[in-house]
Amino acid sequence: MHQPSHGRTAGRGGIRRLLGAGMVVVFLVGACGTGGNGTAAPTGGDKPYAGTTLHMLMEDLTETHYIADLLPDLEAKTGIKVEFEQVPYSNMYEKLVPQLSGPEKSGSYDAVAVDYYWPGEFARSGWMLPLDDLIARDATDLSGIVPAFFDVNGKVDGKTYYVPYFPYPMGIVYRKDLDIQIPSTMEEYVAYTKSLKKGDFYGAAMQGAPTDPIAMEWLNFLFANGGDLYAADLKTPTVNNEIGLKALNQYLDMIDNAAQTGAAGANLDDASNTFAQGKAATMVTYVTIFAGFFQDPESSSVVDKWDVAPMPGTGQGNVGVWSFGIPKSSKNPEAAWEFIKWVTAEDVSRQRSLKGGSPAYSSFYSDPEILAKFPYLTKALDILKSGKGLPLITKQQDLVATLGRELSEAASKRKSPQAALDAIAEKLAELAAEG
Amino acid sequence: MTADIPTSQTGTRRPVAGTGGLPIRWRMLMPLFVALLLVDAFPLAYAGIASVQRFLLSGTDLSRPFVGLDNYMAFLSSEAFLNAARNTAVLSVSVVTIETVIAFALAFLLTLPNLRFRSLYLLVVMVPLLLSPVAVGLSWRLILHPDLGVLNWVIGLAGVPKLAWLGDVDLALPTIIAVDVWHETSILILMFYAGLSALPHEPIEAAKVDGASGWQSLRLITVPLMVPIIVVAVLIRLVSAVKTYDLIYILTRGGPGTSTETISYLIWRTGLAGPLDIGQAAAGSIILLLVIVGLTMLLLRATDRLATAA
Repeated sequence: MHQPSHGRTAGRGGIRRLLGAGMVVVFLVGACGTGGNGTAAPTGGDKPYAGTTLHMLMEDLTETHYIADLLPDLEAKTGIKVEFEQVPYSNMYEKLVPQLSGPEKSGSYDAVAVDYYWPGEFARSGWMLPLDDLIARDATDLSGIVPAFFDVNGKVDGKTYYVPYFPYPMGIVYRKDLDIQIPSTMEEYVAYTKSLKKGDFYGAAMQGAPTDPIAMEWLNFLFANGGDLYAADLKTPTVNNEIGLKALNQYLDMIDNAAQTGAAGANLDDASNTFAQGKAATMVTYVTIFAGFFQDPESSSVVDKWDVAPMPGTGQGNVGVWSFGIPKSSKNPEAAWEFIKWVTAEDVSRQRSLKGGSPAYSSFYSDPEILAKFPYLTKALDILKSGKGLPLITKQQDLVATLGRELSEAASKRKSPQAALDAIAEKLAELAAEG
Repeated sequence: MTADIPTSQTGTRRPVAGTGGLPIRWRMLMPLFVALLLVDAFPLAYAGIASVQRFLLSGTDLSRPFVGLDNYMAFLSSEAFLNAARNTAVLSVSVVTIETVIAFALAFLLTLPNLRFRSLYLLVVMVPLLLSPVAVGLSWRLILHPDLGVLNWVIGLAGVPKLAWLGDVDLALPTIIAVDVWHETSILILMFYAGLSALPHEPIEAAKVDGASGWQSLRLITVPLMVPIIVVAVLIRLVSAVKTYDLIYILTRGGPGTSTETISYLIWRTGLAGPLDIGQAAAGSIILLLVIVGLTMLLLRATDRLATAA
């Protein structure tokens, strides 16, 4: 399928602590910037990269399609051709790792799209090129991109390894045509969705499959209840405290009593299709990436019938960012940098946002032309401001894999909720100790 | 080349001058040995070395110190291994048993004399064999979709409520077994069909003359004559079933929970989808290899015994 492809449809990644209260300030400061790095022509001639073809692994989703549509512009400006290998999200990590971990200039991918729980592992394993010198050399202006996104998926241990190109705040999409009102507390939301389930119509389209889908979905329940994976020291797991247990019990209650049949084995595609077919009232998901899917009459029966809301409770959802970086195994690092400069430039980013892309530039959230087409971005901005992510430990993928597997054990009744959370806490402690 | 050809008139096999004294049969096998060395021996040796090292693909410390059998102990003693071993055993024994029974029955029907449209039936039965496991998995994932799949629609016509074929912990493994049976029975049908077609007619004709019923003829003549082929076919199929990975990857990713994880899938996720622990994944691979070697030896021994008996 097109739009939301497998796995989830946007990434998550590694971080510091993500957009917390402190980040709101950073975000708003960033929002005042004008941004725009332009698409400066490469030095040394009109098209010094003519004949160069970049190979990249990309998730098969709308944001990738928007970029693909604009690639002729890059070729016209620089001579660089780009070939995207588009795969479902669930295949990306396993395809990237063998390429990135190889010797320098030996990989198949010249630049890589990096999800928000990979940057720490990729950078600290020595797989990525730091970009600070390139940014300074070319005086690349990235100031328009929300600064907090660099904390999420840009900088690792003080160095810039990645340039953010789209965020994916998680919240709720709901059927506004059915007069669905998202309650203010999680308890009410769970009860409400259960009451909405009637026959083939469900209170929520859910994605309980291991490992990424259930992990990403449940984090919203955890954050909305005021919980977190770790305490403030980022060392002591709190996922298995009473808030974590409450969040998991709510989640399991909805999987069993509000969601579509087979929700415990459903991935993002399955859940998105259920919502797009008009069979669900709500869906906890990546709220800014569905413009091209839910609004496409060929794939959706809910065109213009949906809107976006933050999570009930604290309003905090899981927020991730996708970024581009250059692996040391890249055969064309200079051309890859030209691509990254081009694709993250303000003008190209704006063109993507006008197609339905999720804006990385703060100014786009107040751009009248963009807001006229995608008014829900105002609400997405609120979610971005308050959202949370994952701690910047090295083995973030392992964290998500464990989280997803254990949550799925609870969803399938093979473990009690407390036992599953305890197993997660044990792994979290181990991963935090490793750094 | 012509100079290397031995003197065939006398049938002697002697080395030819200038060839280092290596008989031609060995020299002709050299490309195969080189290929085996590259694609089998080297990876195997590498896996063997990796299995006794602390070998993490990512992290701040990528050194690879020798750790003895720690990886083997860690893999074998993990809860995940016991779960995966149980699932692998259930899956393997189930699919082989069911597929053998169905395949033999269908192969027997296909060899009945005077069967019309035999070629058509054979073609239809062979279709799954032509499909890759990935294509089979994706197709069945659509068919089994709880809301949008055709299977739930069909059973819904009979008033049966929708089932979460892959999302229900009690149904997921049986569903995978069913899909595997759909896909893999063809190869056994082919083997049994070939075997049945090649059976001597005399014993069966003699039994008929002696007044044996069709069932008696099948039970007392055909099946015993087919035992060598059945044993070989079952063991070949068992070896491949023990390695099942692709269907799991496509259909359930080991879920719900870890209820459908097989050993091959566990090895994959240990090495490439989470901790990136190549050392432990290599240890798991060696363990699985030993199991398969054991089964293969069983196969060879059975083949020898049956050949001797014949």
